Amino acid sequence: MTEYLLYPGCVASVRELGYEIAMRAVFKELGADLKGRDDFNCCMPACLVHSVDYVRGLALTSRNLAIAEEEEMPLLTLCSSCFGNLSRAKYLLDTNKELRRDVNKHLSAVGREYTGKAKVKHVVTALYEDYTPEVLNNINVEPLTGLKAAPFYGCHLFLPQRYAKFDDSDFPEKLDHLIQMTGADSVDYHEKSSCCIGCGSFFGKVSEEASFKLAEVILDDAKVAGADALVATCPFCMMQLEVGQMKLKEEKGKLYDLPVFHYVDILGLSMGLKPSELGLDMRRLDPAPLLSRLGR
Amino acid sequence: MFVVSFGFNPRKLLQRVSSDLQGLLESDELWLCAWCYRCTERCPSGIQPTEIFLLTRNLAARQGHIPANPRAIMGQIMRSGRSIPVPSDFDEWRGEYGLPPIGATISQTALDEQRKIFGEKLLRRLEA
Repeated sequence: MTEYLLYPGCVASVRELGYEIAMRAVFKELGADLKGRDDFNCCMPACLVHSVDYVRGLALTSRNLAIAEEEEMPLLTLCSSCFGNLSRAKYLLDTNKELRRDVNKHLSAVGREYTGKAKVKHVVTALYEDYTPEVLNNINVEPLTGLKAAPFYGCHLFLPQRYAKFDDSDFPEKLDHLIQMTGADSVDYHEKSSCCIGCGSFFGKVSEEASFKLAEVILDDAKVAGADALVATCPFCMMQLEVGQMKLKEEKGKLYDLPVFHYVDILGLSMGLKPSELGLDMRRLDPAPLLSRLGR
Repeated sequence: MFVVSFGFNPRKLLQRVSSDLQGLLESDELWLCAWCYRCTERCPSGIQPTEIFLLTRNLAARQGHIPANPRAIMGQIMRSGRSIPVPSDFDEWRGEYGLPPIGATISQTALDEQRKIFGEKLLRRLEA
């Protein structure tokens, strides 16, 4: 049995409950043991808190790594932004002794220390590295034959490569590979490794407009490539791609009809879990018509 | 992909770090980088613009230049431990779906340690 220390993050556990439900159901089915802690703090987005104070920001992020070291279990994040912030902190502290010393000075004030042992995983990196595509292919009892799924990688799952250590930074392919393990076809399209600006949307109107424009580019491209649905890895991306379609329908009358899944949703379906067990009745865009076409 | 109409451009921001530092520190553009890391990954000279913008923002923050939106979200993180507000009855809703409670804020221990690490001086800067 694989053990993980679950780091729930705020976007998944507050805004994307359907994803959290699906993720828990899939990992339970895979026999994983998810342990929780109630004393984590925010991952401290680098673009916010680290912007005020580089070292204290890193100390706040690393406090969570120190907790993971106490438990001697890998941290498992649901959100790619949490994964990015925690992986960045780990990389910087593991490659810069002086910085680690400065960060540990702040951590020692609250009785904690980062030693370098912590491991950081994302739901998708854990599935790829700990369970492997071969194993996922073997448990695919109800393959999603005929589903044309367009992968949307997001940013922090694989960028920058030196922090994330997961996939090729120009031509990522691991999500495509994972999608194929469910029996679905992964659709190749230019925008699959674009940014959605979901986690940059804190800047108000300017970034809202930019993310709306980007959503249109991504959705147009996926639609032209023949996708039936989008498959994301990050709760921010899921939100942006769904809300983007709702706004484009309202403001421009554009209809994409592209349900947005997280990878665990389609993995769960291929393992024989029901849509309701995967929280798919909670999505902003109803995937029921597509699911019924697939016999679910 | 250039979608921001006024031309957000990491090259120009980077240029201003050396040619117009004070103007950049007082600008909102400095705070528009959304941390996608693509320029850092792509740069053929190994410059890491993302980390440079972050350190430049540290200088801006020291002068008190933190735009209202990021300031509000950071205030929210320091008060509740999360960037998104959680309604007080949210755990009941989570419970209906069989999900464990998360609390309206992170635990008191985590909040106290978070504030101690960040420090009173910086907390006041966010509240100012």
